[in-house]
Amino acid sequence: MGIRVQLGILIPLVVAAGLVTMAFVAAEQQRIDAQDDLLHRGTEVLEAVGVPAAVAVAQNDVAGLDTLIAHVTAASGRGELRELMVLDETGRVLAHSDPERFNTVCADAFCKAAIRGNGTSWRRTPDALWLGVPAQSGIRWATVVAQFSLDQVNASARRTRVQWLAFAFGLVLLMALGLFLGVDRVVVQPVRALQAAVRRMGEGSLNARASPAGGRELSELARNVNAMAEALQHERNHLEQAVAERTRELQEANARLERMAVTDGLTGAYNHRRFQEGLAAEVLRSERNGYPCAVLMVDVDLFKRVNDSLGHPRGDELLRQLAAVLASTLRQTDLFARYGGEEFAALLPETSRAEAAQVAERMRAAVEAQLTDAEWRQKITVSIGVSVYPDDGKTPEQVLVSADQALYLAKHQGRNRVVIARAAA
Amino acid sequence: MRIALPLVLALAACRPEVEEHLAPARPVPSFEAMHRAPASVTRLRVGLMPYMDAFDLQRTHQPLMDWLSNSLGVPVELKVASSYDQVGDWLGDGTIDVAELSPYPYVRAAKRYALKPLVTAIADGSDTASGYLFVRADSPIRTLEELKGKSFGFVDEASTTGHLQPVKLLKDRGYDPATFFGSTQYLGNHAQVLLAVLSGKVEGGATYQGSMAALKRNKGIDPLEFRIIAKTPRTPRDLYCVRADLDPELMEAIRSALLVLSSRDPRTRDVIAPLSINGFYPAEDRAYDAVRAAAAAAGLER
Repeated sequence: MGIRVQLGILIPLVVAAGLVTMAFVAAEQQRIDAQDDLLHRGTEVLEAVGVPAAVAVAQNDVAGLDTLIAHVTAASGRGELRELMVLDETGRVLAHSDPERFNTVCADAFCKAAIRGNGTSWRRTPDALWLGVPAQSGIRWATVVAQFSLDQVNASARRTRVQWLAFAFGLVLLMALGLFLGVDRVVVQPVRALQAAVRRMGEGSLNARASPAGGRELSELARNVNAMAEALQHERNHLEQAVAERTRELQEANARLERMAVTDGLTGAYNHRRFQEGLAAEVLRSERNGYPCAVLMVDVDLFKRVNDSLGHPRGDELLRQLAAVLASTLRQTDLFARYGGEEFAALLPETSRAEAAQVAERMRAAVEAQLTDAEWRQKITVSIGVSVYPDDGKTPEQVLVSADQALYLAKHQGRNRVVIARAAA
Repeated sequence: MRIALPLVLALAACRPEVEEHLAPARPVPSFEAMHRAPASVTRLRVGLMPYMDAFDLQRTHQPLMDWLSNSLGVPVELKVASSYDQVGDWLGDGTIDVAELSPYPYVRAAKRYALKPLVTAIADGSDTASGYLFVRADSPIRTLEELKGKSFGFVDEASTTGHLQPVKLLKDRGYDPATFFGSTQYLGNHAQVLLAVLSGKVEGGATYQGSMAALKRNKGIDPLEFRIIAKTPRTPRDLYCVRADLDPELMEAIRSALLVLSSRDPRTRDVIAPLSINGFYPAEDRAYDAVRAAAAAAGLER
């Protein structure tokens, strides 16, 4: 059951209970008031009747007493006076609004008490009010007793009750309607809007916001929910940033590791394994495309002497400088690697024998020109063997063997030179 | 309603200081309204029931007849019937123009003839009278039941309080009026009933409430010589009526001449003093419906 229906039933029910109680209290109060009023009016009438009644009784004027009682009864309009009688001291009826009752004795407890009583006596039954008043003229001559109907009093109390109940019914209907509409506007709609916003937030849309509507408490709730969503959103952005940073760091580390796996730690050139992979791939590509490719095997002449005379650290330095010089003579597409010890290798894709020979010669010349004798206490030169696929070998291994043989020839012929492998030799 | 009190107070603040409601003016009988009988009318005949001996009737009614004669400008002739019902018959056959009738004879006559009631008498200051059943003060009889088998005096078979109401009372109490009393007599008028009880001729009698005072006035007999043991309902008093086809102008002349009479007016009180009445008021036929109902209930309707 919605809050609206609950309030729409509960509050009118409470009000209805109050008003219904009120109806009965007001009706009872009205009945008591009207009864008091009747008691006072009745007493006044009987006291007024009592004087001439006493005079008539004193003079033994039965006819006059009859006329008095008959006229008072007739004059009492609205049907409140049901019966009116004059009793002597024994309770005998001297005159009565109903002639039939003449000469009877009224022996009930109330009549006896009224005759004995010194003043007004009264007795209420559910539908009647009995009144007894002394009839005095000089002395007490008789007692006037009357019965007044309470029908009008009760009817007016009933009317009051019905009016109150009708009023209660109408008011409760209005309240229920008002609450039904009012609660919808003040509570249900704002809560629904708030709930929709919270659901969107729950589904992940942390940028969703609840509009602060309704009463102070609901507006506050909406603002708090918004603040919570904002904090969550902020937190999530922070997390995403951190994750991105970690990812980038990881990628960098991976790249570094990859580079380390394929490069030579000393010179920065590619290592032996990368060279073998590159050669195998290039041979396949050349075979598919029908282009030639060339391999240059480069060996530092008399490197052992440098190590021996200047120490291994200087030897390493020499290897670094050599690598830089050698690499500088190559194209971007060429692959340059440290093949082992003081040996380097270069793979020149889409390169003919003549072009390879030129590159090799440029290398040799660059080393001879750029590395000074003074620094290394000897003349630094390189020997280069060149082989070309597919003329000097159909497989990577054969191309390498051809290059090695050419290098061997270069060493053998006196170093600091380039030897081109002889095709199909 | 208590909670309405502030509202009532607020409204009371706006209430004018003086408020009044004046009753609509009532028609007051006046000498100016009196007029003479139409020229075509040469005399007026008034019929009376024999409720007293003819001499007393003549004596007590003569001032009223003189008043009517002077007012209307025509001679007035008084005719006393030999029975209560004869008056009605006289009205019916045109023997008389106006009748003085007590309630029960009026009801009986009105059943046979189209009558128009003019005025009803007021006596002892009242337009109605109770009926009494009484015995002598020293009688051992104290209740109606103790009258069973005793001798009883009625006024007249057509009398309201002197016959109709006592018969109805007996029927209401469950007795058969025809066999309740040992013997019954119709004694002619109220005074005769009182005197018969006083003399022991009958043990009980029926009369109207004014007869004892009248007897004291006329004969000096103290009402305490009698004891009332039962009362009957009040009935309207005697009325003056005419035939319904009487000249309306004459009807109005008679009515206005009677309505100005008052026991408080020095000019008129001697006119009605012998009748022991205080005046007249306009009669209405429906005032006698209670008598019709009593007659029906008593089985005396005819």
